[in-house]
Amino acid sequence: MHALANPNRFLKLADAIQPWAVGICILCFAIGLPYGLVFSPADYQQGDTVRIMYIHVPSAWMGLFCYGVMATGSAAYLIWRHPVANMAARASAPVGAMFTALCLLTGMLWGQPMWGTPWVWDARLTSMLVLFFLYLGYMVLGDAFEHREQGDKAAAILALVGSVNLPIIKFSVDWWNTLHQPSIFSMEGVSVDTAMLAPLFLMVGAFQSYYVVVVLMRIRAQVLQAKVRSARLLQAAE
Amino acid sequence: MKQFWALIRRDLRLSFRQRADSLMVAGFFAVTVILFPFGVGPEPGVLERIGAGVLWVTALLAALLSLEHVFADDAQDGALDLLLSSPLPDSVIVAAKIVSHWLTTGVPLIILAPILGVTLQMPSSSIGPVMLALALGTPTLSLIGAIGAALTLSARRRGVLLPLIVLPLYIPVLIFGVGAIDAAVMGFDNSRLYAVLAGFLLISGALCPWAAAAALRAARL
Amino acid sequence: MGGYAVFVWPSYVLALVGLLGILMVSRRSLAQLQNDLDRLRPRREETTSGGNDADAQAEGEHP
Repeated sequence: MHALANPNRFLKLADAIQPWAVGICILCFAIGLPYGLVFSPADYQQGDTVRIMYIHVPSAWMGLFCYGVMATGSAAYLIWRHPVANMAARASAPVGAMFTALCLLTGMLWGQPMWGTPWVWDARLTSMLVLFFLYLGYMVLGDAFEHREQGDKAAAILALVGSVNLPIIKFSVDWWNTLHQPSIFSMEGVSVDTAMLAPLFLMVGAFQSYYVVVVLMRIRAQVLQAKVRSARLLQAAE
Repeated sequence: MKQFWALIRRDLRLSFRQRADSLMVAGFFAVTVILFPFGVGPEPGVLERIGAGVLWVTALLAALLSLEHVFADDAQDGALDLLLSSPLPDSVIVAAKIVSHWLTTGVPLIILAPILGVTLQMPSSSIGPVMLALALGTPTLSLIGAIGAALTLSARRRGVLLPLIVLPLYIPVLIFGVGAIDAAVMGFDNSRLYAVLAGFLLISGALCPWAAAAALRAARL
Repeated sequence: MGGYAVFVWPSYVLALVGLLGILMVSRRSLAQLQNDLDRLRPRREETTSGGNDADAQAEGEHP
């Protein structure tokens, strides 16, 4: 891992990985989308609305996964000053926020036919909503400083504080939910038919490989940004 | 240890000279709580039902109001740098500032809450639980908020950024704080809920000064 | 789709919008930065991931 701390060396690795990631992404979407939309069975209880699950569940997973990358990268950055780890964290934030938003919106689209109301303070959706705000805070804080390094450090600390808080928030929201809601509204009860597992995994694979493609792109952009900044400084000094 | 208390005394003396800050927070708390009956109507059932929630949310916002000043005032005149370069560990200094913050903003809220509870038509049986829940919860609010204050110390648009960062972190305290009061009012045993609040306080007490100190160091580089 | 099409299709469209949106934004900023860099430093035999040793040293410390 420390061998990858050098951004240029990391970018060489990224160059090698990128085409594979793109290929896997396209493949997964090409098979997963028609499978999910058309060829997989409708649910016994929920009918065709279950097809929303093929977007909703992978987004939820990616929302959490990206935050995990953010927290791990932030820790590596704070402890070892690993520059690429920080870049990976910053790069993952908008992607994670997008997936979390997608999870919330598809949750609403799923909720309307399922429960008759678009928003329900279901424990999972509520935790996802809080997660979205944690992403927002991280992104805004990171960009709120004059020197980028200040923003990097502050955002990294926030990411770690948030990750300590996340299980506490989940625990609190779970308890709060049992207090206020009959369990009918829980999404926990969705049982997944084996015929539905394949498109589900394909979509997760598609989203994951998409993540790799985009994050590598964004890391590359951050490296370029640093080069541009130093080139500008050099120019100003002349 | 002596220096810890000396720091607190110093901060208290400073805030006493600027009494306005403390009064402002208490005033905001009172005015905002009183808005709710105008907003939702004075029917006894409604107010009573939301009373604990209103008190808590307003307490959160009031704590947020004063958080900006925990470090900013000292940072502005250079006193913070001086303090941090002293041999006293950073986390102890931060802890002292958090204690002073709580004494000047949390404690007035605890004292005011029962009176305001009356305006929300909360039953008299709720006074004890309200004060105890706030007593356990407001220090946690100061602790968690201090991290936000430290992180945003040299950030642009600190005023809007601070709530965005801190409020999601406040949600567990809010949930259990309200839960403890509601459970007591409805006659259920709420000792476990107080235990959870106390747990939050202990964990934050252990971790937050250290995290806030790290944030202060990060901001200075 | 059993009358649920109005919920299912928007979900997939939203996913498309989100995924393509982030992808396009990322590509655009990458292209713009490469542009800026090319204007500031005429490209030698530098590729996007290459760079001489001085570059490598600098990047290692200041991301």
